[in-house]
Amino acid sequence: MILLGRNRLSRRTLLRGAMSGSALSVGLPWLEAMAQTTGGSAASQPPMRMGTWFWGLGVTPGLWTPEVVDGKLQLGPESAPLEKVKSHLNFLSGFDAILDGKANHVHVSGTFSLRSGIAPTNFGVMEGPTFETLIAEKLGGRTRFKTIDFTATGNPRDAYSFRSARVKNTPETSAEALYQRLFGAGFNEASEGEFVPDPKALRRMSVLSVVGDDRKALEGRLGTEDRARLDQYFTSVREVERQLEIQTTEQEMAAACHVPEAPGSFEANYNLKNVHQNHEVMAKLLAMALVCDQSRSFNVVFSNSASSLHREGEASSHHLYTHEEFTDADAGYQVETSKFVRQNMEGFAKFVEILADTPEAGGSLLDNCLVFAHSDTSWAKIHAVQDIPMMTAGRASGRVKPGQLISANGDPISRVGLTLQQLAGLPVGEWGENGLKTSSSISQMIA
Amino acid sequence: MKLSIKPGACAIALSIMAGVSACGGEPAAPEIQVPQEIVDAVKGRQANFSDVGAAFKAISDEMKAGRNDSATVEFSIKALKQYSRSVEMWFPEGSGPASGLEMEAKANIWAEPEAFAEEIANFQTAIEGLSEATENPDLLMAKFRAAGGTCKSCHDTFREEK
Repeated sequence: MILLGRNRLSRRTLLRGAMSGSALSVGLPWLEAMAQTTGGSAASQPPMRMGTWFWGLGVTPGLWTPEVVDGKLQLGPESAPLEKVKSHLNFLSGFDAILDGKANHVHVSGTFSLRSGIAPTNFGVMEGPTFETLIAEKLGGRTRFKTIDFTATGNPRDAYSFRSARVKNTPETSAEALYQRLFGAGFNEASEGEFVPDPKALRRMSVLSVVGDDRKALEGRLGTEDRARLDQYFTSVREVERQLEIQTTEQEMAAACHVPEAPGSFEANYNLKNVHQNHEVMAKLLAMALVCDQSRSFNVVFSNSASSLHREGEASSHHLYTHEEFTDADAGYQVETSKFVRQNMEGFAKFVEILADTPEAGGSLLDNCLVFAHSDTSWAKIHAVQDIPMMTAGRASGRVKPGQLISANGDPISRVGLTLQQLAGLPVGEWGENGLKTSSSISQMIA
Repeated sequence: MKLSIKPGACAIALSIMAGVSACGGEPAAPEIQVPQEIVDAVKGRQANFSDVGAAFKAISDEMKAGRNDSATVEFSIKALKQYSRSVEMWFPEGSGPASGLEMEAKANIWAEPEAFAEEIANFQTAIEGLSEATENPDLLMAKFRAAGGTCKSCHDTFREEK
């Protein structure tokens, strides 16, 4: 293999290996590693990562949004579980999902407006890609996985990341499956001595080349819609190819990268106890996968939209409480519902803590991440989509200034998506449609 | 005939039978397809009015507890403002009782559009007035009653309570 500099490949690179006892040389397609870039490597300057963290059913008015007292964030009763990580966080308040007269499709309009910049016309129908998939495209050019998605609920439908209006990312639903995907077959651990590509991967790569050859011939016989479907299919194939490229190319791994211990088997469902357990184990796997530069994007679901979370031994879900629990006359809020909000915040605190406790390049993994956390609604009792609770965690490799309460006054929620895309380096100056169209990024967030 | 929609139904092909038995050898009644966008519009409208009602109730509960200036009151009024701005869009052509879908909206909403638009405008004005109570909580009771009055006025003419 011809290596130019620390991490650059020659365009004439051939991969050499053995298959069925014979020497084999395989040419490579153009890879970013062949470009003359000045970008950092995994071992020196860690890359920036971005991801989302989702929880369902929002917060209680007046109990979650922090105040700024003497220049410091003072958390509310529902955000109190975030106390020990609050220095890493920004709280975003007062951003609205502007629906342009369209119905508020409960538990859908908020998330879809925020993620796609388009208020949905029909229930459950996303009308464009969600912004974090655009970011994943930008950040994940050379990584094994474009994105790593998991849900702590065990339900694969609990996912809110769309590559297009019709194609939704499928999350991993168990720690075991996530481990196998990240660190099972196909993971190239840094090793001493000469790198030998995995012969199985080389054989699969060859099969996919044949598929690629047939593609043009097939396309010529198809109509527009079928060509679009085929294009989506080949996008998936391309992702497999990319994984194979990684497996057949010597990777430079960060010193801290190692294969973690395989997790045990856990029950995965909406029981809060199980959700917390799965979430913590999967978050730790994700953290190591990020250190090993397996992906630079991630999407985590702690609880689903219209949350089905329930406590051990209870039949009533968080969702049921939001609609059926009476407001406590003295307290002025739904006491049990509020406890579920705190549980979600405990989950987020744990997630942030795991990233902050993962060492990387003299700092922490969190220093090089930006986690964007949000819910589907603000006050679930009335499915409100104004002032949807949102947070960021991390410094995004020095691009973001944490520790702030960023308040807007009914501004379009799409300002957040625009800002995050710009922080990821996407050349976008305006984003969203109709009332959600904006060219105003959130400068206060930027370091 | 009134039909119920189960939440989560996606492909809706509602068959409205005219009481003719297919086993009698007579031709089956034509199947009426309700377009998905009409189903969504009706479901969305009903959900939104339900939330408007819940916001009114939240304000009412807070007033009863003597908390006219609570975060709940302020938040509920903001939510009502957001909902009120779009009410006229919740009644697209074809989303009336003639669709066969179960609803409380009466057909005269579409038959008397000017009168209905006036009711909506009165509601929106009253909600704007209610917003003043976030600055001056002493106004809350009067503004709340005024807003509730516009709801009743509209319901008296354009809603058939089930």
